[in-house]
Amino acid sequence: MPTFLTTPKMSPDLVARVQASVNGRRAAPGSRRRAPHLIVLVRLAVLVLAGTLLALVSYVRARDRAERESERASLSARVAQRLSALDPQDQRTLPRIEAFLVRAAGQYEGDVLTEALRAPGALAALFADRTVYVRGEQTAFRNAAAVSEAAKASSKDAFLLCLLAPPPERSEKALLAKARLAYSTRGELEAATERVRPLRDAVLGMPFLSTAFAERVRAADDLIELHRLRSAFDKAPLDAATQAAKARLLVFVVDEPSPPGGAVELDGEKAHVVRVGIVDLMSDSTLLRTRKRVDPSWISAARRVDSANALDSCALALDVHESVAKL
Amino acid sequence: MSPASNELRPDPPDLLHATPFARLDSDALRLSMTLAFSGGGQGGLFGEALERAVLAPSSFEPGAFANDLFLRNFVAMCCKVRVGQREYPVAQQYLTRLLASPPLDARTIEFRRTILAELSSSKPLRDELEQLYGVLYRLRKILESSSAEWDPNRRQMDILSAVKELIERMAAKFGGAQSGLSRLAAFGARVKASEAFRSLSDLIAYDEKLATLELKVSVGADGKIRGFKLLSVAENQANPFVGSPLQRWLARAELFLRGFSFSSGEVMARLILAVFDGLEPVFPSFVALLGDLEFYLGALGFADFAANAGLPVCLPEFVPPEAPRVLGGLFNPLLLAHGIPPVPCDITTNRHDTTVLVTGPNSGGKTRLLQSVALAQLLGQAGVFVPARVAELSLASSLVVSLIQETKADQAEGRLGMELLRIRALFEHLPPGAMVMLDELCSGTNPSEGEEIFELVVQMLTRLRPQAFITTHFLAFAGRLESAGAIPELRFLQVSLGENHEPTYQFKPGVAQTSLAGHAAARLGVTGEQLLALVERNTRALAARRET
Repeated sequence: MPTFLTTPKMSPDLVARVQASVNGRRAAPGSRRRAPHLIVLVRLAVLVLAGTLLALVSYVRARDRAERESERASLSARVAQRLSALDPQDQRTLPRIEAFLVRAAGQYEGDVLTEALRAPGALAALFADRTVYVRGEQTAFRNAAAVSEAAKASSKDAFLLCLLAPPPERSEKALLAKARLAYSTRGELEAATERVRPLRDAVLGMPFLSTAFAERVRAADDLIELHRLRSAFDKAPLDAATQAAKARLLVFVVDEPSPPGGAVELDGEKAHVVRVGIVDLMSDSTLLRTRKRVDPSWISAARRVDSANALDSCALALDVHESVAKL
Repeated sequence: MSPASNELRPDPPDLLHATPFARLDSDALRLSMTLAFSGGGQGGLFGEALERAVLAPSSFEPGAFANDLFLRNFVAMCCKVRVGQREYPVAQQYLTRLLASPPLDARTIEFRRTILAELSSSKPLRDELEQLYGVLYRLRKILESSSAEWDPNRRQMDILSAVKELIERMAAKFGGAQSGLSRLAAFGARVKASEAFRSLSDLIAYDEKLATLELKVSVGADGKIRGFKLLSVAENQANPFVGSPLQRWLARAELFLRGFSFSSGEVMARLILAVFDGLEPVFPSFVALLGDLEFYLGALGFADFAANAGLPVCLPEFVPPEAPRVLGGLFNPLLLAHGIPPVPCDITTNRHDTTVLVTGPNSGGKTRLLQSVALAQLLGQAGVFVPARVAELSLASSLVVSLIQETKADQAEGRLGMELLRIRALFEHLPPGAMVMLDELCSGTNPSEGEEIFELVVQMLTRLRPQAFITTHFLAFAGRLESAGAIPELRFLQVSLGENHEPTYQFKPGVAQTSLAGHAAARLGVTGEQLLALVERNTRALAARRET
């Protein structure tokens, strides 16, 4: 039987002896002989099994690789599409807002009311632009990281509604109507403030609209990581974040700490000082900065229990309007 | 065993016989060799095979002389094989058998003498033979060792390398030999020209040099190697064992599927086996060759041993029985082996087929003389050196030596009875023309009756025309035989005494006048005064013990 151990250069006698040596005619003394065919069958089976396993592993790895690259390409395309909607100025919006808020929560720099707001309807016209709104306690705005955390807890409220659409009069009944509208679950608040995005949308969405996220997608080395990134990307408020990034106006409310003592309402409302600001993000200029005191003591006992905070907020918005009107 | 049609069948290089013959069971030995090569741990393979070897036809019966001549001691102590500073353990039993069985064929005796003569006269040839023996001994050691001691492939390659060196040495170094040593060259040349040997050479070259790599080594300022650069790789493509890397890998895979292990060592093992198969018929030759070389190197060792003591040896000249016997400078090698400087003597008789009566004092060297003469005859007829400076001997048909009469616990007869049984046995087997050595014949009875038996034995012996040497203390009787001349074939030798009647260990014609028993008694402390002193000492000692 031919064998790979022979070469054409070998003599016929040597070839014959080499063939004999591999045909198993000899056995070392004392060695246990097994049926050669059984050995061959077992080894063939092992080889076939090993080959099948190898092919299977290779196939699975190739399939995973293709799926991973497909997933990466799909996600990268979506990220790129989202990124293309934002210009460099938009990418800087959130850091600038955080910087403004940290500054606003610091030493109060005095009231500001620009001349541009003096014209009748100027304030209302101002809110026609895309706006970002946030409200938080003074201590929550101590630095950029804290601003992000505070922003996640801040949403549209009665102050924003009353600022954009003030009640016709400063009566408990009129303010309560606005407060109830703000707390409505039927979408009236969103409809009335559709051009305003809470800062939370930018905080939650902008990390997915960055080149850093695109790089993470490119560098992800397994499918699970890519699935995790896609899931997070899908859940992120990307449209709202894009809208927030393109905002021209920032409206913020900073609640200073309330003095010790005094009554605290069931919803946490208590007499304290509030800072309100409106910033033109296009020119980085403060259009309005004022400091007001809110005190729920004017609210009737029946309404104070469930709406003290909303009524005070709406009253604060009226205070802002009145301040502008007094110019 | 080999599947090849052209199996290597060289005649083994028989260095011991003029006409070579099969001395070993070749088939059994081939099987044993194959097992040994495979690593079966065939310890004692060579020695056992040699012990079973068939010897050349011989008319000598070793049982009739080997013990009395201490032949085994002679081989062990005098026939040592020493190459350089190293002494090799020889197959003593085989050498003893060889010496105890001198060949019947005179041509074989001459064949051996010619080889020894050439080795003695040619130092380079002897050196080559010793080198050849060294390689053969190495081959024996590896074959008799177990493969468990090291890598089996490496062990088998060492065996094959030794075989290659052996064959090449035989073919190249003994071509100019004039004696039977030329058979080594013929054997080596035949094997070397075979396909099996070419395969062996190719395999060793393959093992030693598969490829040549040209490297460029970079060394840093601190002397450490910083890097290698491979400049070229050249495989030994002319070698029939060299295949492509792919083929080598496929060979391993093939062996794996065939039930072997998947390794390059397994491939090499198959190739080694294939080469061994081709050379297998040659291997039994090495066993016989080892015995042959030890025979000659042992004989040369004996010559060296004697020469170092200032005692020359010679290859005897063989003459007809009626020619004079000449033994000049004869010495007893057994004395030399035990550290006793022997005194060489000269022995001459006017013809060989005579009976020599040797007389002389006790401890005068008579028995040693008989040993020496018998050893000289035995060694001479075995074809090797005799312990004499010059020797002219006549071939004997057999040898009987009766020197030692041990008392056995189960012996049925007394001393005289055993003596008579010894004489009976002698005549039952003694052929004409044999050499007979009898020490103190008929010493076990009273002299007058012993002398009658003595004379009868001598008269009957002469009818067989032996080369007989008989010692006796029947001095008066010997003297009467000499003076009467009644038995013409009798010759007489006596120990020469010095001025003070001390033995000189030389011999001269005639019959001794005295056995000087008194001298021996005095020398060994058996005088009246000495014995009385011992008696008194023992008496005093016993009395002292009783008092305490």
